[in-house]
Amino acid sequence: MNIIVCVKQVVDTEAEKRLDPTSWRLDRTVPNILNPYDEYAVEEALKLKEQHGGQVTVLCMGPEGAADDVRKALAMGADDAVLISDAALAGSDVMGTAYALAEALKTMSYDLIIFGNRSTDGETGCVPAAVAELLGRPFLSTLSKMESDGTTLKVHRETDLGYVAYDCPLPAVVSVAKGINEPRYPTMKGILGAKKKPLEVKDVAALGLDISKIGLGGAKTKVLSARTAPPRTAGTKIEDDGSSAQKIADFLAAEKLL
Amino acid sequence: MSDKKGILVVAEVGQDRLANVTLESITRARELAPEMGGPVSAVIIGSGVAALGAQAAAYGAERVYLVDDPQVATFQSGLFTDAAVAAIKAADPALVLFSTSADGRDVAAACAARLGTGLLVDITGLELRDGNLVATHPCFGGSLIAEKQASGDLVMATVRPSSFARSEAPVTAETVPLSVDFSPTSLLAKVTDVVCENLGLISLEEATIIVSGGRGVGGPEGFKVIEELAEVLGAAVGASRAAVDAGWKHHQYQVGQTGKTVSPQLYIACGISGSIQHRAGMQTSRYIVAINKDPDAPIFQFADFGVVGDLFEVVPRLTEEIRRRKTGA
Amino acid sequence: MTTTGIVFIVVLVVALAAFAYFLGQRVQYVLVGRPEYRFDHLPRRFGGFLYFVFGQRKLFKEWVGTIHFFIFWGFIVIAFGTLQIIAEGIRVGFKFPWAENFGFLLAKDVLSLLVVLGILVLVYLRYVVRKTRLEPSAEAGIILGLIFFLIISEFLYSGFTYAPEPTSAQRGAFLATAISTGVEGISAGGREVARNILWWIHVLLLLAFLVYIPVSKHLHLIMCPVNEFLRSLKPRGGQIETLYLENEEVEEFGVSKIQGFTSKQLLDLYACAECGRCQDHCPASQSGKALSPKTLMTKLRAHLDERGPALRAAAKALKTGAGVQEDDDTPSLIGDVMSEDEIWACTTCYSCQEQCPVQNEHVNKIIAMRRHLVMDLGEFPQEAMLAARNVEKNGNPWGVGQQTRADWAKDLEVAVAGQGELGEYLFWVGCAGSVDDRSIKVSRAIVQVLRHAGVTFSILGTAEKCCGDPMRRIGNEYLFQMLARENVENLNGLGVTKIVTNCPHCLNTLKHEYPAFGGNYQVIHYTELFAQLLTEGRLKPAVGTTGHRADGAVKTTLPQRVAYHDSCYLGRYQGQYEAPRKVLKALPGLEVLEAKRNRSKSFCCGAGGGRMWMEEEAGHRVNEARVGQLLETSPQVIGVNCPYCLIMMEDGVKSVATGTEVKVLDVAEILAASLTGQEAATGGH
Repeated sequence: MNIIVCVKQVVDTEAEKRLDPTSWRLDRTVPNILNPYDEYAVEEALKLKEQHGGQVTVLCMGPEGAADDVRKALAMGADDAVLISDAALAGSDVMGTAYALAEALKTMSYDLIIFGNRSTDGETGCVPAAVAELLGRPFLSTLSKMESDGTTLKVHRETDLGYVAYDCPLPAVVSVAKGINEPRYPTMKGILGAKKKPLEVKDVAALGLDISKIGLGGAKTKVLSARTAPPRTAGTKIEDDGSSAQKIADFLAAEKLL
Repeated sequence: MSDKKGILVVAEVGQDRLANVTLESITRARELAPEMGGPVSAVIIGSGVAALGAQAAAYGAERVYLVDDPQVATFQSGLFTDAAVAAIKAADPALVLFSTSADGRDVAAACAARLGTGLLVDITGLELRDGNLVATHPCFGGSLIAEKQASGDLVMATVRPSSFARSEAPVTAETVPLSVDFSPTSLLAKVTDVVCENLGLISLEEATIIVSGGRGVGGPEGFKVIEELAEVLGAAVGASRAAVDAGWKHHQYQVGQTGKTVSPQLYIACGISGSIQHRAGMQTSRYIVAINKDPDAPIFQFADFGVVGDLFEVVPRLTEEIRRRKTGA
Repeated sequence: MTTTGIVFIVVLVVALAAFAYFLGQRVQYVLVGRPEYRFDHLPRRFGGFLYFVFGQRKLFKEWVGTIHFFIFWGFIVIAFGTLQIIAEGIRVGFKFPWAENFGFLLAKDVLSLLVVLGILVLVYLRYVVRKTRLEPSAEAGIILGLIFFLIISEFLYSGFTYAPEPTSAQRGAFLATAISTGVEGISAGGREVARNILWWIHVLLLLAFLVYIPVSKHLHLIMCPVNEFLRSLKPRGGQIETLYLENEEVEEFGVSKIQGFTSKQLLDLYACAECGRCQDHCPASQSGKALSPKTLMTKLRAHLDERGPALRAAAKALKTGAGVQEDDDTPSLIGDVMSEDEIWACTTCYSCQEQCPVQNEHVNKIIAMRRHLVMDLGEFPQEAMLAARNVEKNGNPWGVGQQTRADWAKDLEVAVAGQGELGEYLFWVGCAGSVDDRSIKVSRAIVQVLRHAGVTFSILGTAEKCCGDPMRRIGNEYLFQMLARENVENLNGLGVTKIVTNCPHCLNTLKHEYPAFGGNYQVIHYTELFAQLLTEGRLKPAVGTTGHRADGAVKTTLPQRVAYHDSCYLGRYQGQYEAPRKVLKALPGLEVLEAKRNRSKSFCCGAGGGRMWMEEEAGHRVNEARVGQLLETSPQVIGVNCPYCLIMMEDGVKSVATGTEVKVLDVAEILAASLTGQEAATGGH
């Protein structure tokens, strides 16, 4: 069973994020990490590999520095990696990203493609569905459980009320929710081994991408302006003296929240 | 200029009713329609959903496309995309609004990919400026507000719940039943079971009030006081990353950058210090009330009303007080 | 030579052979371990050997140690008597020079009597009182019985020998003399028969004891002195082995099998006398966790005894080329011998090693097994894994953004090294002091005190990262080394030479563990610096509890009764018990209260060794136990010097002292409060 895990390098969730005021692109000088949702995707792929054998390949689109975080996925146990990296890709929007990933995926062989549900910086959660559509593969998102016999998938898709169970033949594209598993912690063997695993960097030309569909220029959506949200300010602050519950209730009543 | 006209809202069906976000989107579409031109229509996808058309009409949808088919009784991304695309082709609108939810994202992204349009994700504002649609999108946990525009004569967007007000404006709607030829690929995934464990639970994204607990709650049993307050308020229960990481609450309850982003009318944070991480998921709430024993907790820097005190004393008293006012007054 | 002599020599040779065989076996088992060089500083080692073995220095931490002292010295003196007995059995009339010495015989009987009484006390403790740390085992019974009857038989033998009329010298052996009087009535022939029988009883008991030594916990008679000689000479805080992690040939970085330990670590197992002092002071054992440092030793020893022959054979085969691989049948220690619960229960508080009379090293064994779980298997408690990920991403175990690390000092205008003046000291704030809301108050108090005393300092700001203490102690050596290298590079790049720390864990790591990574600094804890500043007169604490504020109001912020809690990493690890006490005692009107367990016997708060980030499910909570001990002194305030202790004690007070007014304050906060009062009194602010 050959599995491709699509991962992204994101700005650390704890870091304050800034946009470059000229390009409206994310300032990536702050600490970067492997998108936390993608760790679940990698783990799920490794578990399936342990069951069925095959290869786990990591696919990432991002700056060359993203290789560091791709190595983390390799340290967890993935076999090899492809990094799509090209200055022309910078500024790609959801659809541009999906197009580039889909084109790369078309050149690879796979039974299953796994995404993390969303990234913690772009936060659109739309790339996986768009990629599935562009590949013409069935798509199941937000999975809280996944099993496979090698030819079909049995999954649970998380809902607010509980879950919906689906059966789906492979090949397919899925995205997994936080909590579907406990991502493994890389062992020393994994960390040392990851340094030697193949990591191929491909650029736009290598993939034969249509420049009009990618990058800032090819984006179908554009940022007109961005401003810092008006800072929330501190309102009333009181020490609890036994009457605070009443005071909260008064506040809620005054703002017609009750 | 193209001849595409009007706004289509792809409805989200909740528990036997249209989700609030759909009604909010219809309301906003109705407000934009005079300037944009063309009708406001909605598409409702499901099985036995014909009656919901009236609800869409009550908020101003002049045309309701119905994909009433047992095959789409339960959400399935491929089939719902086929249905939505059929409605888009039938309505030929200039703007399609989805909801920012798991289902909404899946269908919106697939529709945009199939039709080759741009997609504005998770917008909280939408207006016409010089005839062009401009969407507001809070990014990075709401610390930045971006204004975005999509090119092309068909624009798609997903709308964050609670972004627009909703108001009724009943019209007599034309109901258009659609029969959809589902594609073979879309038919591959099959629903085998639907499990509703949390029937009656208020979803975080849809809730108008959220009561959340954090590290200060101290343990899973500590959430009892939080849940009691939520109950009298008719609120959803949330949790900070600390509480979820500690295993006190399932991650579905998590509010924050790695959890859910919410914009309720009222957010009551109990024993939550207010890290950037958490703030990112809730700072667009209309009002924030914080109860924390640490007077220096960052949450007080952006709470509208803060109480420095022990949540195990304040929260039960607040529950009692609200119960008294609700039943007594 | 007498017939008895001939028979005896045969028996003696057999006994010695058996003794040598069993002992040799154990020595070979020990050598199955990895080599570890412990033959440096020979004079120091030899001096310590004399001090600890003949001075029995580590035994006097408890009164029962006195009994061991008498048994030890009793045995040595009695041995001379026994030599005489053996000799005269072989050659009638043979006399060693001391055999007829009044003083020697007096000493022998006095010590023998003390040994007998001591044995009775030990039997009483083990079998009647049934102290929990001691098993009422048959092995212990056999040993106590052997010693008891060895001495009794010696008394009787000497008594029968001296009868009917002891010489004046023999009268020194007053007990034997008394017995000789008692048996006077028996005929000379009868006495001779009895004497012969007693001789054999005594000698056979002695040989039985000899043979029993190497197969019982009494092997400590031999292994303990060796262990004392080979004891670690490194500072307590610097005893964790630094692993070389770049070697891809290495199969395992941690220890999963018994042969993965070093020979010295295996020697520990045989040196253990099962006294259980470690267990009595272990926060895990004392709070109902699976771990006991004593059973750690005994279980590993039993396992080594069992696997020893096969491992020895495998090692031999490997050497001769007959075998190609090491013994692979040896089961993993983890799961089969030690449970994961045991391995994760340790707080690395060092109490076991502080107490251990034979210088055993428990903590490193635990860390070695943790290393296996973390680095070889990637299996460790989820919460600890989360802490590790947080450190990787955010430089602190709480996962608060690295960019916000210096936010605590935003309004204090503290110089950041590299951007401003370095100052005399680099103030190493630590993770808790930087991001934990409660501990931030301590950092701010330290800043206040340093400024008051006119000490110039700077902080690393957002360049500071976790020192690595918890990561190294949960077994994540890889992450520790990454942190250590990065921090050392930063510190060296800035030319830092003197560091003052908030947290004793940082103190220990920077002081004792960073030198291995090229970081050599003069590192002190803030309590040490404050004590120094007090001595120099640069800090003058306020009038205290009844000072007057500038506005005339009576100021009563200073507590009067402070129960001081020694942290493990400032106390046991650095031996620094006095500086914090000195600071507290310098405050007028402040009384320092001592819990029963104080100084080197202080009880851990429960958060060391990475335990801060692990759930505590089994038994009861360590911090609550410690708070209970401190509350016995009826304090107003529990005084601490470590952010871990601060967090743990506050939690503990909340659960066991609800409704009381007891507060937990850091020494820095208490001192700072007094200085604020002084400023107010002089009108400044």
